[in-house]
Amino acid sequence: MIRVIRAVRNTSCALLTGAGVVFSTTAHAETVAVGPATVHIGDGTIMDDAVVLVSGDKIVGVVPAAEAPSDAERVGPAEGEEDWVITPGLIDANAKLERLDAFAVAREAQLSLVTRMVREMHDPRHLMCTCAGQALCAFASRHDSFAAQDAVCPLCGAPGPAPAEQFAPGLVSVQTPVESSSEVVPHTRVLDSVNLLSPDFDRLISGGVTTVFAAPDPSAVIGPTGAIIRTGGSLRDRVIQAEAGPTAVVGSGPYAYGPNNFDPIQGFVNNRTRRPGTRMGVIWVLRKALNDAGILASGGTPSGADTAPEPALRVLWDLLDSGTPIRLTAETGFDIESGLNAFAEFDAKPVVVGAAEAFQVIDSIVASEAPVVFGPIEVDPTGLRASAAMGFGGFGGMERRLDTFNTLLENGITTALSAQDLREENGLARQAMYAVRNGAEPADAIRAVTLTPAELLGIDDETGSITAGKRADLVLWSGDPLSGPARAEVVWIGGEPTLDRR
Amino acid sequence: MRAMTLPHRLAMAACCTASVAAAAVAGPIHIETTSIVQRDGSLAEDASVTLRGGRIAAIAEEAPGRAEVHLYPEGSVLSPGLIDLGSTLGVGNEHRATAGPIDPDGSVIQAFDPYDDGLAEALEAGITSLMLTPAPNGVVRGRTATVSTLSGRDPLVTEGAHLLVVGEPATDTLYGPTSRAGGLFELRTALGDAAAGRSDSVAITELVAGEREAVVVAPEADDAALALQTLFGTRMFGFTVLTLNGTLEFSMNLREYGVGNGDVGFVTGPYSLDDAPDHLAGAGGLERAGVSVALRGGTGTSPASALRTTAALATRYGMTQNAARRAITVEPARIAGVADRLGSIEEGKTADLVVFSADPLRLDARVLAVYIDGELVFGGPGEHSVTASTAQNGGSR
Repeated sequence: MIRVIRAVRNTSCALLTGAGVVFSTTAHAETVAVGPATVHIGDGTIMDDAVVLVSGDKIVGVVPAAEAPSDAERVGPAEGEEDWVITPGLIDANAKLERLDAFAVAREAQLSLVTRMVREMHDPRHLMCTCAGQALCAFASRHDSFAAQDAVCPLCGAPGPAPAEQFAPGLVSVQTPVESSSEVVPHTRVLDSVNLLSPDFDRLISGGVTTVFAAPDPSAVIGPTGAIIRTGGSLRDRVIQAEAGPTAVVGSGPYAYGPNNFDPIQGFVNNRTRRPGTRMGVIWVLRKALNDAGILASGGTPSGADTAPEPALRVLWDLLDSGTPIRLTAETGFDIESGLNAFAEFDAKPVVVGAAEAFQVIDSIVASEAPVVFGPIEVDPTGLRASAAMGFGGFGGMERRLDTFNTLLENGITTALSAQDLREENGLARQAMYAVRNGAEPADAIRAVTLTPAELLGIDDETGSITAGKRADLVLWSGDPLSGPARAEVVWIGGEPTLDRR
Repeated sequence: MRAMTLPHRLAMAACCTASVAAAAVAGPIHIETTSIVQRDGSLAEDASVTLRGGRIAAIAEEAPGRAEVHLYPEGSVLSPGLIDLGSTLGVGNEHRATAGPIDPDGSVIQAFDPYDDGLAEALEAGITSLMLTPAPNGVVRGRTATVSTLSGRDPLVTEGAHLLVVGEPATDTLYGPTSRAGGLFELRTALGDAAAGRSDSVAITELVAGEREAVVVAPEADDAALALQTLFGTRMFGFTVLTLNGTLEFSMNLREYGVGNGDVGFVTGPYSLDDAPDHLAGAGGLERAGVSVALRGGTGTSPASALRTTAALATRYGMTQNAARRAITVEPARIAGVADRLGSIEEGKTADLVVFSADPLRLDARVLAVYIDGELVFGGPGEHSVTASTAQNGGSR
């Protein structure tokens, strides 16, 4: 095996060097042939033994290997590697960027505080515990007692034992960069919290993900507007859409997340303790915001407790008025149901995000004509996810079925797959694999991580499938991406190789 | 010898005008040291400087007749007075506006006590000027000021640049914005409204029109990047980014953000001896990225020695020595708005000078003397002090 990989390297390094030059000169772009390999187009079709032709930053077309132009530069697997596969760059329509490094929350300053106080008073393994940094005075002792019981801290999710797992992929931090001066903040932007230099983007690339919708935490009823970002390439070209739409949340998120979302402490009340404390309250704030948007647009003055800031209501009205779909994050069946009802009341077009228990309310989703961004499929949840699966925050565990994605497809619901904050070995390609394992067609599973999310994000005219004229976002896999052992060997973003493991 | 500070504030207030006037009519002083810090930051050998009328009158010339000659020992270095940025010395906590995220109407000079006890300590550490900044506890803040560390001296700049803040310092957990995204929304809205002629604030309108300068506080490299993304392209005024953390990684990507042609200066620091190497390498990284870099000691919240410590650590972690000397003299002078008067040893400039026993980048170097407005206010040549007549007879070193 090693010998073969070396052979690949020897034969293709020179080609790739040449290809790099070709890719970067669009004026006299020569055609580069990537392959031969099995090519997932992304729209649900598969071509065996085909070659993707790339010129500059664009895809020229896909042809059978035998018909590839003889003068084209060849990049791809060598003899004996015919089982390699090409897919479009994967797209995650609900990516939760790793908070510890993708979001800047003045962590240096914070760490110094935590270092000083926690090192002296508490178990040093909680140095990185964001809960301790944020709410040290009131909650550190409680936090410490959870740690002593080897239990997961319910405030911040930091696991008690095994400090090595503090940075494990998928660890959900409660620390939130979401603006919390109001529950309705669609006028703020997730992009303003994203560090484009974060190593989290490298992790996404190594999992074959080339485009993400950077979604906010579910800690506000109507959260900041997300951004559509390329995971690699020049910083100037990274941002495809800076304001790609806010996310409404129905569920426990707006009152369970966020380091300061607590009950009033000994009578001390601030703007956070005015938040809704129940699902009823969350739905009320959502409905009031949608209603107030209309009042403001018709010249009235919204008033009362929980009134959202004017800029927020204007953003909402623009979305309602133009019929732009609004993302609705809801996980349990009854949350999806009540969220869809609230949206219907104001003629808002929903995109259901999360949707763990969608199988319970399939008929409602079909009736609402809402597409779904589903996921992740949790086969073996660890850390906080495991505790959430067992029941968390006073609720019973969610019923996560492995075949819910297939149920959605079978009912004709447009469904994209998302890995949220899972990365690398547990990333988006693995989500497609789980879908296949539980009954989906391979081409459908690939579509759910390529063309379908591109369509939902409105960027399908430039990426999402291997189609002539689209941007050359490609992944060359060392085997079937839906099998365990294959990994992304080469990832091109806009024709530029941003990862090459060979 | 202690600095020539008067013992009592009231007495000082009563007579300071008279003492400044007296300095102006004092006879010329001729300073001879082993080397001198030049404008480009390099050290030149065997230079001498003549001070007359509070200014630098001549460089590398013979001592004029009747000049008082100050001869310093072998190895001594004459430097422009050091200038520290982002200082809070003498303002206590009185620079902290509480009028919400957008409050451009204050001036930090109104919070400054020119007789603060800490000024003497800064002066004795070789810092002759400070740029004071309002507290960055909001998105748009009032004006900076530049003051002398000589107790009771008139301020150098009273209406300096405005402070714009990106990141955690501008957040307020009680009243909002609570996040960087929320702060940037406020900033974008305030500047955008002003650009469209919808702002009630004269200050922000003039800022947007390029009639006022801005200093951007961005404590993390991410904040600085977002400041550039937000302000570049839409904004025309020159600004300086005060960035403290993660500067190395940021500097390696500066060109990606479209910076590097001298239109933005950067300030970093303070560095301390227990900082991580990649943090200390930030200043060198910025220098290699081709932008102008000033270092900051944060006098007021840091000890007065922090400025030179910062410069020494910056050179130890990759900044060139010349750039480090510029970064505590001429570069901060530019940002503090006093480059026409201070920051370098050139004929005609105000004679705010410091004599160190060795290169100021060496932490074993002491301050031997401080001159302000051409007058010796701290230290002096001591037993090496000689009169003009003995100097002509050969003097003694």
